[in-house]
Amino acid sequence: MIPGNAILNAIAEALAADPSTIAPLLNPPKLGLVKTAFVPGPNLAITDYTLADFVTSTPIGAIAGAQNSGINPVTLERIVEMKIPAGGWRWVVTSTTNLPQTIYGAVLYDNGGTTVYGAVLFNAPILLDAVGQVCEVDAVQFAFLINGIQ
Amino acid sequence: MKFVSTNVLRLSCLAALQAAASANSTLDVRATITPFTPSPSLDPDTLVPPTFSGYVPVIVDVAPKFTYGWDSALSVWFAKLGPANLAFMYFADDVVDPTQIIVGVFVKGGDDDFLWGSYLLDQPRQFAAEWDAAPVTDVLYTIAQNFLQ
Repeated sequence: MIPGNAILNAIAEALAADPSTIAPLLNPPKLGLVKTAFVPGPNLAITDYTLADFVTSTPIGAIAGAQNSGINPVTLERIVEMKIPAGGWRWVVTSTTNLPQTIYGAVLYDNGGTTVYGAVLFNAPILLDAVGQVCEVDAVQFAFLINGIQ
Repeated sequence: MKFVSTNVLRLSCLAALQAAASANSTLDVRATITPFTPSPSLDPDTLVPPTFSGYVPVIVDVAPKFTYGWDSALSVWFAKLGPANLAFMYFADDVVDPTQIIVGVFVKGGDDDFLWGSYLLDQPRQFAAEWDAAPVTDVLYTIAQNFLQ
């Protein structure tokens, strides 16, 4: 059956506030850069990729608690978006240690590093080989497929 | 950037659906004789119920009101209303108006008043005589594997 808009909104809002996954009040998820080729998918596991290890590649912690949800006015998709932490999802290379290094994408996972919530591949791998280079994720979003629930 | 979710988040959504259903004391499965197009923006107040004697909405008040899982044959998630053995039936208990044709079904939350869903019957069911009946089975959502991208 075709769900009503109120139900679709409720599901998105519930996910955005789910304390057992992306919205815990303590120990929020982290976003890390990935330095190995990988394929995002529903069964992606921690062991399927290797996190970047240049000096300032430390995964960035999300903001604890409820995340954002809403409707994309252009696509009409319902969106759940991780709140952007201070400084953004942004990594700046400050040392040549472990360079050059190619970054393929980013992964959102739980604070303890055991469960993957989602991943993205960059449009093209990013080669980091000098101090001052920046790697950035503009937003961490999950979109509900239009007509994905029928 | 759109992230590809893992099954952990997809299951979280299905659990949320189940929890929202449980938060209602009832989910009411109602028939309508009004032709309509199922849509998320459907206004259930525009759907006229049958008026023949014997028609009553099916009230789902057991827990869990939705069960969910993975259909490996179809490679889709599903969320199904009611316990597995729940069968719905609308029937007439008196001579009825032959213009009473049930064309579809919709589900409303007993407390949140949300339109939980709507669908058209494969075959409209005309009620023209006593004991005419309309079984309603498999009130469910079929959910694409990648519904959360």
